[in-house]
Amino acid sequence: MNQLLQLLKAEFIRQIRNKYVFAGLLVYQLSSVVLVKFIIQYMSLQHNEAGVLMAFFWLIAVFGIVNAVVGSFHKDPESRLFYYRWLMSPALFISSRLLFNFFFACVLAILAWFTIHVLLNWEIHNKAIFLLALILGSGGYAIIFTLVTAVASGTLHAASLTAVMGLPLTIPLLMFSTRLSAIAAGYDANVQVWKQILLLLLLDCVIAALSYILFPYIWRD
Amino acid sequence: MWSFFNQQWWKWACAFLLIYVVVAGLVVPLGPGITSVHPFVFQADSVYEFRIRGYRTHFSEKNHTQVWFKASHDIFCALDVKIIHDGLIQARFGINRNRINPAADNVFDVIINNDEDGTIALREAITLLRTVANRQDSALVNQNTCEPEVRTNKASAFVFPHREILYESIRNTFYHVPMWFTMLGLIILSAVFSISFLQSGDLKQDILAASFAEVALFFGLMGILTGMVWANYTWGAPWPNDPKLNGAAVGVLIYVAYIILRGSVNDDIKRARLSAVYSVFASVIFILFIFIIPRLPDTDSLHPGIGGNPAFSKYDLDSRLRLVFYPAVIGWMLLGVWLSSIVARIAAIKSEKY
Repeated sequence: MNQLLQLLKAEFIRQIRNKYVFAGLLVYQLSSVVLVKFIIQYMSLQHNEAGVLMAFFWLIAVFGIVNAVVGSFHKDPESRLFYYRWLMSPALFISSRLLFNFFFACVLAILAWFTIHVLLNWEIHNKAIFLLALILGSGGYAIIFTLVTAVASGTLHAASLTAVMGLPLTIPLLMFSTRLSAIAAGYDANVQVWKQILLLLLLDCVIAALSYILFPYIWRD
Repeated sequence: MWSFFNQQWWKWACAFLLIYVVVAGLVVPLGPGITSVHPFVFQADSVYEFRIRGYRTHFSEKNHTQVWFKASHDIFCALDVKIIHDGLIQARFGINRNRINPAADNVFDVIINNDEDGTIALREAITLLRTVANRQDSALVNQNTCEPEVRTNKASAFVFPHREILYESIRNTFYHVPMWFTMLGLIILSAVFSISFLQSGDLKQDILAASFAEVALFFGLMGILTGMVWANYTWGAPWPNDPKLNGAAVGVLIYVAYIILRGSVNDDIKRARLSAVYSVFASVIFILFIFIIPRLPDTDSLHPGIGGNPAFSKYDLDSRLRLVFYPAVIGWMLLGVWLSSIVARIAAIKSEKY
């Protein structure tokens, strides 16, 4: 009994000392709630059930993508990174990482869509626009998290810091992509679709260009 | 920047401006206005006694106080006006069912004019119910619309505009709004010095970037705090559902993350480099975000300047408010730089690279 108490105390103290882990978890929770709030609010109230499915979809897709991308830097052993550094320019390296993560995220999101479609019988009104929203949205997530993971991998608490730094940055992307996907789902026809697509594309381009420009500064060591 | 920090003149300017803002912002009185009209619903064909309350008004017989009621373009005079005291009028008014313009609105504005207060109005003060009373009041048999004689305001005292819902809290314009301007300015400065660090590798630039970001976060939190107090008074809740509040929350979260990031790297140069990269990346996304969100076609915001403007539309600011508002913006921005300079000096002394 005494030993158990001692162990519990040790766990507790470790959690308190490692504030960043806890902060990371809090930001994770907060972001998921914000995500659900945006979607439920944006879908009109008459289609509440469909709004819940849409929120489910983005939660599943986004956190799948985040987990996939976060692995892309932390799992590289130092020796391999050193080898890369010696072998190629940072611009080339980040380009390959960005492209790979972009496609990987798209594939994950499409798989999530397919699974929900099959298991929950989820019908999308305009599939082409939804696919576009999905590619631009999940691709944007992949880009943001690629750079943020690269920044966080240089710190002491890489995994939790990634969430703390990355998730607030994704809120604009989240707003734009959920809007576009809600339009595609057919609940909101009175917004100009092309404007929304253009906005999302613009945001993706800006963050991709920024990652390309900024990455060489992280790479230097 | 460091030599600018050492100069004195702008700190004096900052102190002078802020003292002016606080004093003028609190001392200048609010203009006269109508705060409430009771009852707020009425029926045609029957005469009602409306109690009209004013704030900082000077109702009296001597200054020709007249009351009229306006729906769309039809103007009706009160049947008679009884002045109780400076801030309370009892006006008898009713409307003949034949005088109701079917095309006009059901809501009436109440307008009061006198020599001392000029013309003051409460828009959409009373509502005409479409049901009609059984018996027609004799006073309403031969009712005509009237042409009010509007006199210009004699006492053009220097006052802040009286706005419904806001009332005295309009003074918060000098605190809440400049907080966000200052935050945005400091974020841009922080990003500029981050870029400058990435180009030069000079750690002094990194200290500047970090101090600006920290003070920007402080001003963001102050903006949220002043906004919550204001929203609680005017909109009935400290955190109503509003796209601009989401933007504010994103900004604060981003710079909290920035400070956590700086806290979790031990090596000076590495910390500077990583946080500079994050700061540039985050500030670009944040600025894009707050400039695009209010311009989206279907975002309803409780904030003024809806549909196209992140701050005000040109009608929201009165020329008398501007006389305090612009100095307030400059003063708070200078205070932001001043605070940053102190934070930067402390950081520089700690790192012994001054």
